Amino acid sequence: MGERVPTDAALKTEWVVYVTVTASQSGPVADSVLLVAVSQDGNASARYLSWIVGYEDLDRASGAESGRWRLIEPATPYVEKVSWQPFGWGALEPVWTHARSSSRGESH
Amino acid sequence: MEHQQSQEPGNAERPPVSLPENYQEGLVVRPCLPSIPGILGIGPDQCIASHAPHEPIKEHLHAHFNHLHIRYGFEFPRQTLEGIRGLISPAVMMAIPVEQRVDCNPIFVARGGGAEGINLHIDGEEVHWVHHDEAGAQATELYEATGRKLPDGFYWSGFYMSDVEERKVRRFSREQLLRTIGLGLRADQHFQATWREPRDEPIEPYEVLICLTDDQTSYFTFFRLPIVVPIGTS
Repeated sequence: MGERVPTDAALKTEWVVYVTVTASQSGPVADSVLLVAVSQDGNASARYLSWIVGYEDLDRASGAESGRWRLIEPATPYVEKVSWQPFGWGALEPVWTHARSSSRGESH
Repeated sequence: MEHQQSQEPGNAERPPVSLPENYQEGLVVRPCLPSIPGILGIGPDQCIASHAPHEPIKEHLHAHFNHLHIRYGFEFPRQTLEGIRGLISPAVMMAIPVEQRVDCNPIFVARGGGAEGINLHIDGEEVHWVHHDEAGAQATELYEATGRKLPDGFYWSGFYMSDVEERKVRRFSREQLLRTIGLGLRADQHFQATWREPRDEPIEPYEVLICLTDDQTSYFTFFRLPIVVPIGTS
């Protein structure tokens, strides 16, 4: 459903993929949105971009990185074997689906 | 207003609170204990509950992650709303750790089938909540105006009332609110906090500070949601 332009030269692209069905108990849940990072050698790893129904996380992520996100319409089917990373996203560049804490005007 | 000195650590020099003249003209909302058990599988005396990942439950946002249920009740008492002249959106904000995010369910006015709730509708349309940074900033300002500061590592996560898609803030007129509140509206509210970046680690329960207010009037109220409901609470 979308693409993010990577800044990491090791990555070829990053796909935004909407999950239509839950394929396994440990895999991503239906109605979630994933960020699939495809490296230059073709390997891909995926993690959640949003795990609840709704577009707020996408809106925030694209708003935080203006110009790096592209909507693909109509959406095209995406079926690939990827390395699934439900926890510990350190291998991927972080995507801030909420504003950084320092920009919230928070009191700590 | 006479100032009561707080005995809480860190708040010994809390300044007096001055309320604006039009304080009573706001949309009055009062927190209370929740009264609809069983929604999302939460029992009658649970306001704060930490859960490991579990089977999916309809309307549950974070069942597949470690998550913390945050549940409370609130009431819009019967009121004239004479001070409401434009359109306003109710707001709720809660203080949570910076490593966490909190997401919300709709406003439940009754128990539905299974572990589901029946959602509040206004003018025939279901209402939800949407994240809004301004709401978080509003709570920060209101809270600090009382002389208090959040503990290190916490922030206010704020929401305004929204459409069912949770994309657009919904604001209501006095007439719409009068029709909705009637002789008084009592409801339960569920939120779910989880790690902002999912972790395979349970969330330690914590007391949650909550602010109920709106985006237009000067009315607001803070309350502290306890981990365990005190004995004798009715």
